[in-house]
Amino acid sequence: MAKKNSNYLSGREIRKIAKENNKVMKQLEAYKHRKCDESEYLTTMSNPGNILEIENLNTYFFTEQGVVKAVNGVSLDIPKNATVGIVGESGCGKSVTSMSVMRLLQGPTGQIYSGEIRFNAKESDGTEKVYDIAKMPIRDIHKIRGNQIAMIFQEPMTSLNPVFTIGQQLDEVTFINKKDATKEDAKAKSMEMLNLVGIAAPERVYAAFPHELSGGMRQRVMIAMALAADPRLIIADEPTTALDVTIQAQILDLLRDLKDKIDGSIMLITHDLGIIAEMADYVVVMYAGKVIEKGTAKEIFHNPMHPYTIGLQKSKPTLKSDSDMLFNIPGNVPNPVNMPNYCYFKERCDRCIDKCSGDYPCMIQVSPTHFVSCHLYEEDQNNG
Amino acid sequence: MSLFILLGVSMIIYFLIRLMPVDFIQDKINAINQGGATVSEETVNAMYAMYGLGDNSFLGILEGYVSWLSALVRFDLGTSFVYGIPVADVIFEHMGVSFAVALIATIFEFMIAIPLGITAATHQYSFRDYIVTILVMIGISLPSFFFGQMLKDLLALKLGWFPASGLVNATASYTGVELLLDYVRHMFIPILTIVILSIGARMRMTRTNMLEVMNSDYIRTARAKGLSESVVINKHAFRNTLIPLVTSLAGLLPSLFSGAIITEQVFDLPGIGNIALDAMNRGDIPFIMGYNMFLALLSVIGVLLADLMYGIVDPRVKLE
Amino acid sequence: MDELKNKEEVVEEVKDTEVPLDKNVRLMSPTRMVVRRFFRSKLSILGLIMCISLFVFSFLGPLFYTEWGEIELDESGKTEYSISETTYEVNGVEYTLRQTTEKSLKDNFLAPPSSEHILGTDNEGYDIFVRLMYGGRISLIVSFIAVFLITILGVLLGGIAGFFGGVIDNVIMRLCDILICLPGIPILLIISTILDASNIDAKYRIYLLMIYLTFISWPGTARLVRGQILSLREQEYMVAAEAMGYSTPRKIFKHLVPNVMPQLIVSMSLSLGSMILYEATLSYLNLGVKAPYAAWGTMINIISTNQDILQNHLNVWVPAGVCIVIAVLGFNFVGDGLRDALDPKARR
Repeated sequence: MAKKNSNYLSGREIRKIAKENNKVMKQLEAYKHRKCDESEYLTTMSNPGNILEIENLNTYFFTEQGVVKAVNGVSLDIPKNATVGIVGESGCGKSVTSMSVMRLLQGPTGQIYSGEIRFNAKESDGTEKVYDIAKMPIRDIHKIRGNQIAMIFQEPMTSLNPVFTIGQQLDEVTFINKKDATKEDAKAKSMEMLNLVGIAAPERVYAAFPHELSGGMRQRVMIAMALAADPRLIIADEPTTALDVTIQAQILDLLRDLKDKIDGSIMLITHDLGIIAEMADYVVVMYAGKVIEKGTAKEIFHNPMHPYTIGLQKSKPTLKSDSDMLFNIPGNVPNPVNMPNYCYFKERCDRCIDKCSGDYPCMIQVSPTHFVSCHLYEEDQNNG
Repeated sequence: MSLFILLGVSMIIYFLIRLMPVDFIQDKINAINQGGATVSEETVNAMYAMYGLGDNSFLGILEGYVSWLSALVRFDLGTSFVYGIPVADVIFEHMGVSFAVALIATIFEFMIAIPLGITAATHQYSFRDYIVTILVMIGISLPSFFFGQMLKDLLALKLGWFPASGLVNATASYTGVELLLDYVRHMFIPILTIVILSIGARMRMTRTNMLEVMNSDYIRTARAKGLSESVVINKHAFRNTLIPLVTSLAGLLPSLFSGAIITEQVFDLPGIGNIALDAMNRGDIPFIMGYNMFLALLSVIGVLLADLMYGIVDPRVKLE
Repeated sequence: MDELKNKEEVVEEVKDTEVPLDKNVRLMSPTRMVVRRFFRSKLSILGLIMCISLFVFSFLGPLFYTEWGEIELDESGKTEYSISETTYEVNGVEYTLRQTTEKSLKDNFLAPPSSEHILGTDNEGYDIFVRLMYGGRISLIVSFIAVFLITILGVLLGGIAGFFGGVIDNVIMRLCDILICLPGIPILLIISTILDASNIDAKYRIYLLMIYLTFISWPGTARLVRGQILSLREQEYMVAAEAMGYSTPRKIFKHLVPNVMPQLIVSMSLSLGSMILYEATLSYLNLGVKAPYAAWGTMINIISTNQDILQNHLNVWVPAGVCIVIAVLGFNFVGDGLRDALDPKARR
């Protein structure tokens, strides 16, 4: 193993990378912390029916080994009162997309490089305002974070502050959003939320510390916390991955019920196609930092077009299948440093054509709602 | 368990002390001899026996230890050779100065170190962080005797702002507020020395803890809730950083009472550390023994107290 | 049949991982990553420079600067001539009697810095610059040996306690508790007076104190190692190693040791600094290296009794203090840099 590996970077290259990174990171950090007028990041939605429009979002991580383009030109829309599922393997950039929307990226390495995240915010007086989250300075982010967009995280075990009671942490949300709220108001709201998420003994849970609750309970508390501010959009980042199967089903039922109750949208991030099939109205499939296919749940499940989507569905275990072997897509997700300029899925694709060695395929519209990014369907487009 | 530790500690200390050559009685006899009188052999032996130092064989030392221990059980630390009064009295008499200096220094240390440590952590890799890191390192690296002497030379001798040594102005007789002010003037440089030297370690501890906390999931949750950065830091992160800090406060217990030997020596403060140094040179066995046991007891209590504090500040830890 | 299929699958997978996409990803080698992280911090570079220059100064210095030895007195002294004139008048004629008195001070003490003595001489007439070099030798040697011994003892006992557990663990850990509760400096003072009485050569007594330092300092390392081993034993990969039927020595040397190493290296470099401080403090209290031999602490000791030197002859004591600070600071910077560089969790 000690032999010189040509796959390793040389010292000179590392220094070059570091120098370039520092320059860009400094600029982006300064941009993030700038002071500016609201008008600078006010914008308009291209479709007023949407609550969130992400357009050509690029989120990069400036690491020592080079720039990791974790989100590489992602565009997607979330309509009002809809559940949009984002699906893909681990490391495909789905979590980073959600973090970009929340502006929770760990600086200074993680930065939104370019793109727009338009969000339709509802002010307290009922009027609507459209913010471009990507351009918002970090000091103004409180306008949307928490009260307009709430987030449920993957790890309920560590996502609650261990030294405060559940009550304290829930009340806090009310205090942020209603400046004149009294202690009693906050507690009443918190209890209401705990009831809403189906916690049987809310009084007891209210006074408990996080470590006294089970994982499922904690995730319910997390959901209650996200709902407490009546957000317009809830981002659920793999909300059930860390839980066991029976609890998973309960949490998912809860989320589905809640969406109707709170009159909001859900952005559901998962790698589990089953969950998507159950929950989502629209599906976005991501691969290596890019959206490769998106459409309604029906279109994606009944008429998958991208070879990767087809592969994903085949790899879902079913009882019907007579084969005793699980299908898998050969190979791994490529490391997103120095991506080539052809389809990233080319090496793993079983339906490769000559054209695949050319430029990265652009988005092709196959139906009003169904888009796919694959050379296989380009002819159809031209003919039709 | 703690009793067992104390027993072990006392045994080691007693045997070491008995091996010490500095012989209090020999000094006394020499003094008498110098006075012109001669001391007979019998008187010498009688004196040794009187102080319980007659037999220096292993068994003799063991015997001495057992008698010391049995006296300890009756809360009797023995009588100081040099001062001729009970050891406990000597300790309590001189503890006040040491305690005052250490307490004030500790308060300042925490008041300065914690905010600086937190800003360093929240502005990681910034200019501020660099400055704090360098200060930390210098604080840790300065030898107390060197730094104390430097401050003494500069502030007391060159600039003449503060008295160089001692606790009270010998030539003036102050009362009331004036006396207190005189104390403060005398204690200023020693306290400054201790604060600057100890602040580094505390700052580093705060910074490390804060960094760890700031990277945790619940801080991300707090941010996602829409809390402002200052609330995230000052409430959510700080409360968690406090856990090890408060625990370390209990660990400081021995140093609060034990006196800073070197600093007290440099500034000639009549604190317990300076007295102990003196006793060491003069072979005052009961006092050295009592002093060391006092320190050992304090560190054992410190450990117990730390556990207790841990249970109070961290809800995850249940006290039995 | 199924087996065959499986094999084909495996072969295919191996081929797949060698696709060009993976090849054009070039990573940093782990060693280079550590080196790079270490050198990115200007402070660790500064620390390294400080340590190296002190080493060169104390170990190579005396070979090149040979004008004075460590215990060589400058006996050139100052010879003062005073001329007194007396005028007599004898018979109206004036006679002048010139009387020359020669007053010779044998030792040239407290000389100011000059070309002859770069930093002057101390109150005994020793060359301070040269004594700084020899003092550095003592400090560095003592602290290195002490840290070496502490590490060996700590790793051995901590490793045994952590690996075997049970009664052995209990005994070793209680011993640690007792040693940690011992008040450090007072005990050091006692031991030093014992050494005084046993007439040990001034040159060697510091080594005995060093052994004592080792004796009271190993519990820290032992606890670190034991804690690491205990937590590592719970880790999945140790369970995996167990499941694969690895022998105990293999488990220890291939899996546990490399994991404890980073922390150990960091703690070693940090304790180098504290050992130098300890040694200096001892020498300052006149309990470590004794005259006529040089140590940095001893060189400062003089000012605790001599106010004149404290105020008026800074060249006697400040350089030694600066050397101590440089040494401790250097090791601390390096230790901190190593800690950041070796921490796999470090974000940047």
